Amino acid sequence: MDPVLQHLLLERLAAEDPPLGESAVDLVLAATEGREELEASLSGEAPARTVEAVQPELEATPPGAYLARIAVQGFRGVAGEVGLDLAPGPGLTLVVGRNGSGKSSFAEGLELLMTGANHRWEKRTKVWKEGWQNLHFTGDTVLTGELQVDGRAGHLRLRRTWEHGAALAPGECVAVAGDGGAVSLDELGWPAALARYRPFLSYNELGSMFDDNTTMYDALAAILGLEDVEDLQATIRAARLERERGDKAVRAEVKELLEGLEGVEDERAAVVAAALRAAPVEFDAIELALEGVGEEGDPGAEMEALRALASLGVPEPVAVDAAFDALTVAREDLAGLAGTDAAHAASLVELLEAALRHDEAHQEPDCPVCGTAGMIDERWRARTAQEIGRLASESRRVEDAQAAVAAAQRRVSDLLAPRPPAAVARARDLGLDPGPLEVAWERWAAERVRSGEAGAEAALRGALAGVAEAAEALAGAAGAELDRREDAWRPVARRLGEWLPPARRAARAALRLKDLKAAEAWVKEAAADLQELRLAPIAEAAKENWAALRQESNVSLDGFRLRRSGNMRSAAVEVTVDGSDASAFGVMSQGELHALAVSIFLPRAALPESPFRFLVIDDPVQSMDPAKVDGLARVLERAAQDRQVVVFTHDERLAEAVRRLNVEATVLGVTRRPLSKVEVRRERDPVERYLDDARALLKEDDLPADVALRVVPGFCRHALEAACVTAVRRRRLGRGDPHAKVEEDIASARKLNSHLSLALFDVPDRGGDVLSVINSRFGRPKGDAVRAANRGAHEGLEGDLRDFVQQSALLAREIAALP
Amino acid sequence: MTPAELLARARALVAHPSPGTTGLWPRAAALLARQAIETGMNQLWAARAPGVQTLTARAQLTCLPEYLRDERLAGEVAFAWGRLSDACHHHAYDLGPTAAELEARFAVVDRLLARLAVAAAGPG
Repeated sequence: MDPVLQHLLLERLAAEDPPLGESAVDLVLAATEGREELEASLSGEAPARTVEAVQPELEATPPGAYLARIAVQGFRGVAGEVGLDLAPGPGLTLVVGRNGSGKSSFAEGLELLMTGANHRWEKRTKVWKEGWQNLHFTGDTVLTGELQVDGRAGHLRLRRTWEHGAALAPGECVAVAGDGGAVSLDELGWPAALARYRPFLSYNELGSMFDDNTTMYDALAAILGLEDVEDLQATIRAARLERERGDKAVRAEVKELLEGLEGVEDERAAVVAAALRAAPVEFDAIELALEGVGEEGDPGAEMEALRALASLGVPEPVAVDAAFDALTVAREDLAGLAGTDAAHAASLVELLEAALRHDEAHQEPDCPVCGTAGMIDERWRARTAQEIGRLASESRRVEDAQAAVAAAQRRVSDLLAPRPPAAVARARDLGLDPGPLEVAWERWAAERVRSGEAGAEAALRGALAGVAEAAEALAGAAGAELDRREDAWRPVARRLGEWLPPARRAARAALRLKDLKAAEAWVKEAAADLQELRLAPIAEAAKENWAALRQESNVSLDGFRLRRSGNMRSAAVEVTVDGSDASAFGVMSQGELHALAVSIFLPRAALPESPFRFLVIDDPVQSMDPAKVDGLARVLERAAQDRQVVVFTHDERLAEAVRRLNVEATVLGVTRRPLSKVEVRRERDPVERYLDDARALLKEDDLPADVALRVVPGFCRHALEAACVTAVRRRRLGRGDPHAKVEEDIASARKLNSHLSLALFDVPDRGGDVLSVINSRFGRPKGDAVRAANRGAHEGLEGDLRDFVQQSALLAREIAALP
Repeated sequence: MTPAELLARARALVAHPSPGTTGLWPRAAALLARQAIETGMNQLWAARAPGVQTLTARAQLTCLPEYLRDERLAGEVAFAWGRLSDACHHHAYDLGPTAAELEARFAVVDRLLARLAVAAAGPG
């Protein structure tokens, strides 16, 4: 985001103007970073942002760049390489050349070099673009720029090269640092800054800035970062819309899903329908229903019961046979022991143990069975105990056999529980008939009780078979019911399954709708103010510029306002004409519009945030009246205080104004010989320049002496005329004569004597009195010089010209200094 | 110098870059070309109408059609002389003529000089 704008935004958020909840503040801040960050914030993935915690973007002004040289080869009006050397620092440079001299090739070349495009050609047709390479040159087209960048040694060199005959395409801008190392323009942040602060202004742009409201809006919006505010609004809006759409879609789908659930006889359907109808929708309940997980009485229960019924377990025939076989074997084992020593021993042990217990209780010496006296003594007791021990081991075999029979009987009883599983009881509710199974089971239960009795095995086997048959029937019915239900449920479940995750996300997302709406409303309310605050310094500077530029215009600039509504973008310039409101563009002349465009461009391109400390303006003077040119000179002078201002201009008006107003400036003259040989030289004021030219001709070795004799007087006459014009302008404009009148008088003087008449007498028609006044006032040699200049310009002079040039120079300076 | 020499010098100034004439060649060439016209006319008057050369250049140009017997060319010469004269005086804000402009004037002077060679021989 534009750093200045970010600063303003943070200030406003911190001031709670208007107040905004914490979570909405978080969203606004996240949205300044982009949609992804906003989404992360909305989903709670990113930690909440606060105004205090935001790291402001680069606040320091970037390292400034000044132009040191622009060199052009094989481009537009320039054939062989020509360089425009500039002093890299603040100051005003005028590049003066006739239309077609090649001067604009420098301005356009620099723009093409730095941006890969040129405003003048951008919207033109192909035919326009075809003449972009110089016709008189067959080598490569090369554009070179040297820039002095703060904090970097040497000049940063930029270069773009195209082969002869290549189509106009951006190509690659190769940058080389002062120390010879490679530099990335991205690293310097220039591509973005070029788009934003565009330090170029062409005549074309000047003219078209007000062609429609959109052009100026775009020109301003980009540098002011107003697009960032729009992007911020758009980001939040898009997030809000997406959520609203999601929410709406969820609602619509809920309706459809409910319709699909109608007629599905499944308690899961009922549960899901209830969850869908709930507000907010109970996604968890739906998810559980889909998973078939449930507590009692909830959707899983019926299906669970059906599934239990479908897989009702009765013992396998093999297991039944095995159990009964085991019982038979156990019984036979036991029966086999009857009448054996083991049985006898067991019986005897019982008897002897009973005898010992009796003896212990009664202590009688006589045998209670046979009556033999004195039989029961210690010997008997010891012998009996010993006999019990011996007999006990014999009897254990019988006990084991009895235990085996009992175990086998249990195994048979355990083949099936005495009561059917709980699911069977529910079968009735599920539309199934558990009757036969229940009857069979009751019979089993009854037989089971009697399982210990002899001959019960057959009855038990019969009961078991009955249960198995009935269970199979019920399980089959349950399975069929299960299938039927699943068949009806599956498509519904699938739809629900597909719908659930996105719907859940959408619903979760929609939870932040309130915050989003708050954030959106806040930004919307703040946007206009932010834009105005951001625009304010530019608007102020533009107004000041206009005040200086307007001069004799009755149009005053009160400010301007940028509006955007959907795709409609407009920049409204508020002007008043003689104090009453007016529509700006209707009442302003072309020259005034140009002046206004310059007024706005200068502060725009001179923002401290721009790394470009130079401004290149191509021909701002066209269609300006002389007074505006004076104003322009002043405005440029101010801009040149802290910026390097390079102005290309096609005539001398701006240069003249700059000299007359003592605006410090460097003037470079551009001329173009045949075959596009372009030359640049530094120009002094016209008087000195013509005198320099005269002296140069005297010294020029290549020039035959007779040619010098014929052209030097012409240059001296030029110098004298220029001196007159300088004096006349300074004097008359200084005393408040209207510009137009002064210019008209100067233009009417077509000969040296008329110029001198204006300079000496303030009127153009006293040419006849000129010579005598010069002779008496400045000396006879000066008068002779005037005569020689006039005559020699036509016929040439004889003899040594040095004295003549010397006298001309002295006189010219005296005239230029005339009060 | 003959008119043809003056014109050739003017052409040379335009066509041959030299550090010493950078920036000044347009006006210097204009001066020479105008002198070519004026010298040419002077030679015509010397042969055909002595005394006319003492008139102003403008007056001489008005006499020209009569002697050239080519009104159209005389008109073009007058126009070329006028534009060259503009470049021979300092006019506020005007920059020197362009190479293309000068070339157009030179072409007129060429035709004038060719015609003068015939006209100097006398009428008929």
